[in-house]
Amino acid sequence: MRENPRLDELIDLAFAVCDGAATDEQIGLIEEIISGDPSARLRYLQCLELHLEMDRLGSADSDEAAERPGVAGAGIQDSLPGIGCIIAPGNAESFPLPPADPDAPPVVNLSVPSKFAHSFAGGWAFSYAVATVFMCLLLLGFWAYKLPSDRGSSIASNENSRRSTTSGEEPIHDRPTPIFVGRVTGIAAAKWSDEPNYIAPIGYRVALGRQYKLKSGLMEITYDSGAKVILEGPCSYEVDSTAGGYLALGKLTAKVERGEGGEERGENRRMKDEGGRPNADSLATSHQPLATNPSPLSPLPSPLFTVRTPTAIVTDLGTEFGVEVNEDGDTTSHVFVGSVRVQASDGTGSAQGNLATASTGVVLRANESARLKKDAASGESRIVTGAESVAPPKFARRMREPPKRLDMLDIVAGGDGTGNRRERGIDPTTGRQDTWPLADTRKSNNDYHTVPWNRFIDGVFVPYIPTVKTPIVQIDSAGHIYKDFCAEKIIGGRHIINKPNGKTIGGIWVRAAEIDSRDSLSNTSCWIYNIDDDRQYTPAGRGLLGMHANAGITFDLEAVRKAFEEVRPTRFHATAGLAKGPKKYEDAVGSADLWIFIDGRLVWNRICVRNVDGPLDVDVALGPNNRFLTVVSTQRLDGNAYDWLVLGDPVLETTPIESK
Amino acid sequence: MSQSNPDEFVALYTRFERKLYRYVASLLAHPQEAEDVLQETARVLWQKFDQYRRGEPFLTWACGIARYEVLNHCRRERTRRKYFRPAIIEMLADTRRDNDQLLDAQSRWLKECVEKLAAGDRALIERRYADGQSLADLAAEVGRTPNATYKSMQRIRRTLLHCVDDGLKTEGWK
Repeated sequence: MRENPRLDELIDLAFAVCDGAATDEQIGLIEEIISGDPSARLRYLQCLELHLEMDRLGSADSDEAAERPGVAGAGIQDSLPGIGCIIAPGNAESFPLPPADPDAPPVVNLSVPSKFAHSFAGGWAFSYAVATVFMCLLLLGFWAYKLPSDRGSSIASNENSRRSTTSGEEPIHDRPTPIFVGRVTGIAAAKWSDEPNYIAPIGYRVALGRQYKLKSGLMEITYDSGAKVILEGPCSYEVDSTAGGYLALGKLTAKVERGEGGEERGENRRMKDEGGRPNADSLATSHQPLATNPSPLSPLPSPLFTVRTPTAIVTDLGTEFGVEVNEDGDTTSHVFVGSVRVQASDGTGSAQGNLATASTGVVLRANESARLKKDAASGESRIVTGAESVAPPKFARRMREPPKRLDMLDIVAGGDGTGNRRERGIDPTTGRQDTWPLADTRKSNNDYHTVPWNRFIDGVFVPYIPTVKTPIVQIDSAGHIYKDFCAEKIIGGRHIINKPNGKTIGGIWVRAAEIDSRDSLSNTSCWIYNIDDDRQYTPAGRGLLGMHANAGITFDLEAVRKAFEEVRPTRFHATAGLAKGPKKYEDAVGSADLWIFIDGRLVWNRICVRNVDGPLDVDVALGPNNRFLTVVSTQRLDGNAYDWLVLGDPVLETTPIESK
Repeated sequence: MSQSNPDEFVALYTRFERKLYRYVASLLAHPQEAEDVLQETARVLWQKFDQYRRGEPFLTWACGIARYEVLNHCRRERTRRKYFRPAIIEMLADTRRDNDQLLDAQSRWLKECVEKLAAGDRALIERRYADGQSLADLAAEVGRTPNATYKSMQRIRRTLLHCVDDGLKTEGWK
């Protein structure tokens, strides 16, 4: 069969994409072929689909298996995205037939009938029978060999998770019901250990006995008690109790906040798991030995958070501290806040009995360190403090560096201020997200519209004052109002009062500083993509917030503080101005007023901003308890034509908050 | 973080994860990056799960967010390598949405078409896909040049594509 020559070429190009071999020129060529031809687009997608389907057939996985209840299984129920990584379906782990020797790794031998052959050999009855048996075995293999108790289907970034491995795990029905003691609450650039027998975790729930081996990156575990541990790769950490773990190698930082009475604080401290069974918390608080505790190193449960290492026992006394274990097993502890007790360990998790400090150890307070060195002769650990101790290593106390500034363009576009989202907006007449820049006239009835889809935006509005007798405009959800948006002028001896007319052009829109000329956005008629002097408003190259008069937007500073507990916004900074561009009516001159409020109080404004005024520096201080930051553009007496008000590079500058 | 029921989310997500992956991969000029995009998509889906209206097709809702994440990914990474322009991605997404049933039908026919392949071709394609071997490794194993192996692979995939076309025609697809 001969294709149209263009489509024929497209097929080769599409398969090059599939193989990851497409050059920039080839990608450009694909764009050229498919941009104006719907049938070419479909052909391209068919090629991609063929490739992806082949990948799926090759993975010996199936939609049917994935969709069948009981196959998804408990492991999948334990998984949540956003915490780990997704295993791509096309490259997902294969679930081999159970080998005769359960300890032997599965082997795919091409000399025997393959996965493809299973479903294709013989007549229909034979095929059906084989497929049925194959599916049963497949499901059995999946269930019995590939789902450790706390694994889910799709979460975790893991190089070796793509491998087929059984690692000799006992069948699931022989294992005790998993007891979950916490959750993985953050992963940053984590790579799991390459050790062949190590199966990386996938689920977000942390089971007692689970070992976390990081090659690099960070991972945060939040125990049900509220204690948080940040593991820093390379490290090996086993969750061996409800209140602590065994650090065999590497670094961790633990943060344990205490309520009154010395109890660990945890909002989600639970006594039962989802199935109604008593969980590890309930067992720990009753001080019963954990029958399912898999670690021989784990001591009896203790209400105090404890990190055990080959040479030390570090017990929290209400604090934030770091522990590092080097390859010799030597342990360095450092306290950031509060205090810990450090005891020498005999290597089994129990305190050494023959040292003077064994029973009580030493108590370290803020900024103090201690090192536990194993004595080469006796094999026992010795506590070294003070001048003898080495300088404490650097510990990762946070999963991410606190942002020095938050990009308000990213926030308006739906991000959290740390990203680079652009080309999105908010409709000030509804509060909904705008996904395409339109230069349409929008009218509002002066309502304040909350923006529930964006946690950092309190609301938006279009000022509308139909009569000077009711000049009230609500500017935040707390009900703050402003009454002086009206502009007044004497023309021909008459007082003319121009009131914001409840109309605006387009949405409150976020635009990148640089627009790729190939980008379809560069061809829109929307005013913000047709500015001649845009660069003078974007000295930092971030982008523009377009607020054609009349429009207002209120940022929720409290939400920002909640999201970034390590910092607080202290300044709002932007470069404002009235942009210019091609005009249909050359004589028309735009001019607008810019208003900035904090909690309903006017803190900055410029009346009659014109293009000739050039860029204006906007710099507003923000207090620690300020809740709302409102930015408003309103028309001048000349109406709102060409009132192209922009805020370039708007940011919230932040200041770190010291740990309590 | 969403206050929704995680079990409900996980059930829905795992059911449609494969389709979502294919959707994402087909919009990227580098399908190998689909994993990254899917990961971010999953995170956003969970964050926004409160906004998902029960009773509406989950996949449609999820694809809407995935499309946005693909655009974001391309925008973010475009200084590093070339991607499809946003307008092209939008076109592909629309085409995919409009031809969802046809692409599903193609998947069904593909199994039969693999069966019809000559034994040697089937072995080659099994090695490529079932074993996940790169073309270079495959070439070394079968004792051919990478270029020759690549051409063989292209030929086999074309054969499959045309076989699938024939099957689709019998079902009335044009």
